[in-house]
Amino acid sequence: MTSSPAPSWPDLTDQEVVKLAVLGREAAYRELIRRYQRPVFSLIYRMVRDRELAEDLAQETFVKVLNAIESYRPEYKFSSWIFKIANNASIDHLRRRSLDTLSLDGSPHAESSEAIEATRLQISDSSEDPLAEVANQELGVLIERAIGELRPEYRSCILLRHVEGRPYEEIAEILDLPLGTVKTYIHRARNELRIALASLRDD
Amino acid sequence: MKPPTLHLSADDLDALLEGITPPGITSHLETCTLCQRMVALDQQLARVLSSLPDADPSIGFADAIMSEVRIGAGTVTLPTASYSPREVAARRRVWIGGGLAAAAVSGGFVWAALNPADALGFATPAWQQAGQSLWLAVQGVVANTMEQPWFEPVRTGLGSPSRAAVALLGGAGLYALALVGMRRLLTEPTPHASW
Repeated sequence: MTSSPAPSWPDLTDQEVVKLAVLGREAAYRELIRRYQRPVFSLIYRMVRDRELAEDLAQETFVKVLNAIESYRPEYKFSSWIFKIANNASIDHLRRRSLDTLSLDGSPHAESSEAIEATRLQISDSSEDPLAEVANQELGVLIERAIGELRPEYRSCILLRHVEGRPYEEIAEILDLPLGTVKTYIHRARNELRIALASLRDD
Repeated sequence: MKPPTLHLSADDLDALLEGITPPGITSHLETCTLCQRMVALDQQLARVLSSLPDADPSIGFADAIMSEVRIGAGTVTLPTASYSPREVAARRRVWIGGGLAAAAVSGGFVWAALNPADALGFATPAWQQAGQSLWLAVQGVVANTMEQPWFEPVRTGLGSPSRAAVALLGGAGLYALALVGMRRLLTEPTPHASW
């Protein structure tokens, strides 16, 4: 398609990669997928609690974003755009299917114990200490379960703030909510998660 | 300084999570076990949340996306899902409200066309009443303005056509500036306006 030399992808900003994608460089599209597939898939997976469905929604998100890449406005963060579309896809799905309070233990569509195990949320930890790893995994599972019981709006906010590490202003932009509402949702979500965590510590 | 009986607020807890100690809370924190526990739980929670691992999509995820992407498609239509559910609901309300209003107005016109005598009998007094009220309002505003202490100096100041033209141009310029300023205020902080 083009004879220009391959750019050093890690050195490019999202905006620069998007410019190359708009010029028709397939590698630029793949770079955007590589950069965002894990965070976008993780966000959707934690929202809908179903691996297969999360893959479909994540795929749908990327297809929408990449097919509309020319409408991207570089003065805004690319991450905000893609997270906004991913979050909207998740929330739309949750509203349609009322899956907002499902447990993490497996897909609601799983019909056998093998299927439940296969669709269970997989949490891994790279900790060196096996005991700490077990403790962290237990804590992680508990927190994941507690996140799964939050209202979808609270869930988006807490995941974007504390898992994805996005600033409040960007979350407000992604979720199209006033900054004060985002803060309130995060405080409420943290309050509910704190209660879940306290119950574990008291056990 | 925070009174010893007043526990930490959500904003205080937020600031502590960011590593900032809000002024006046140190002495409260030293004595309040409830707040100490809250802070400890918050910090542990933030630690656990930030260390939750990302999940990986299956192999072939990128290829599946690329098979549906139109590279260098040229014409781009905005994806409908880029509107948030709130925006979709608001748009739906606007469309429903607009539709009902349009239906009511059209219904009125149809009725008036079918019953011209009734429509005129109803509309003429109402029209006269509205005109009279408008005229009274204009008279009131003019009388009020003329009674103002600044009116006479302004009137004499703008007495010549050249002065009036300068004042008019100045006013128009100020109006244009205000308009541009308002447009910038209304549009700039709204990200993703085209999304």
